[in-house]
Amino acid sequence: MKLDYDEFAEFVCGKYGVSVDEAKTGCTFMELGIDSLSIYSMVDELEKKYSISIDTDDITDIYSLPRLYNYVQEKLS
Amino acid sequence: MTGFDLTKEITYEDLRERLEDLSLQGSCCMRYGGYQIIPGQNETKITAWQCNMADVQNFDVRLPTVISLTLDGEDRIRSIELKENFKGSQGMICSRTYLDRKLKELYQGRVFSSQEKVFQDQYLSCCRHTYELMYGAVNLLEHCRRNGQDREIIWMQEITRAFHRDHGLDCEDRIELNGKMIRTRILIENLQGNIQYNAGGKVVSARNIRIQGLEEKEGVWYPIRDAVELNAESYLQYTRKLMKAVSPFWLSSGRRLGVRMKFYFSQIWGPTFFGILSQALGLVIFNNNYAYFQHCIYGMQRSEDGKPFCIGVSDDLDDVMANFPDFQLSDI
Repeated sequence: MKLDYDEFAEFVCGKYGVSVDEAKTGCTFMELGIDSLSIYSMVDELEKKYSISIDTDDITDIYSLPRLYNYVQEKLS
Repeated sequence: MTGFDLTKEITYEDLRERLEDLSLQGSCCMRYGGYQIIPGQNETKITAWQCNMADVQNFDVRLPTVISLTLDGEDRIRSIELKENFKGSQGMICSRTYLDRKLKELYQGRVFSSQEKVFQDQYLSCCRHTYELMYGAVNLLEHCRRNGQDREIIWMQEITRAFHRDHGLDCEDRIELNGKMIRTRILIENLQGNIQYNAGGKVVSARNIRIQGLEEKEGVWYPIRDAVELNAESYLQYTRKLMKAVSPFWLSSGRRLGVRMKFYFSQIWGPTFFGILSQALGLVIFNNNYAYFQHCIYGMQRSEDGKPFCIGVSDDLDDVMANFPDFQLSDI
């Protein structure tokens, strides 16, 4: 399954209330004003939406929108 | 919810008395927190508070933290104060004078916005309590503004109590935002003999800990999702898995309350709940022993390499001066 990047970006950024354009530049979530630990809340939403399982050990590596997108895409394929 | 009417402007004296009147009501530890924001064209007044209580060897320990601040018409912080009833949870180094000065240095003149780094960095204020209150207040005001709820008094209060039951811990959270109240329960079971702490007060192993969240609908409790079992072989694994396990309960609480993003003013937000839960676990596992309880707080507030996250857990003055060089002896 190929994830639509724009749709994915809208979903993630909408949850956090941050600008899609800024997030797409690869800024870290921290730079976008999102607490580093808040990614845990996104994990649950992503697991449900895409029926995937995200390992807690991987969470620190998915610190920006592009990395998160690639991670979820890899899980889906 | 707590008998405290926040629909009218409260004074600091009212709040101080209210915090003094709190009781544990059978729980082993609790936190009562809240915010009142009074918007105005030229000035916005904000009061943010939390009061932690714990039953240590049948003695109720009460640790209030109250911050009051005013914003000017352009949302810049005009004044900020950590109120005098702050006692510090960790002894004399946990100094109100120092933490009040830090707040003034960090925030006075800054724009009250969650985009500002001073609100996001959890270590700058050298105190977990003041960080949580400032981050909570800014996100609450922004939430209400996004939803057009900022023309009247904004208020929120929340009580999280942890009860020691035969099966483990039963944590009940009641939150009331602008008059809407919801309840959530988080059960942490199968604790006895299954959690190990290291000499530094950190959890280093957890086995078969059952975690279940419940939400209340019309007086009936329903599971938020299937129970999960937490197994961890290091502190890092333990914190990550716990955060992941409790996040759905926090999200459920936000959804029911109508807060769909940045619900960081909740006491069951993972990083905040982690603190409350760690205190409760310390009390339950070490039979309300004060020394062990303090040891667990110490473990939670230090990095893996021993650096203190908050000034209160410093070992001695040398440790203070190494990690908080702007501390002065006159702050004690």
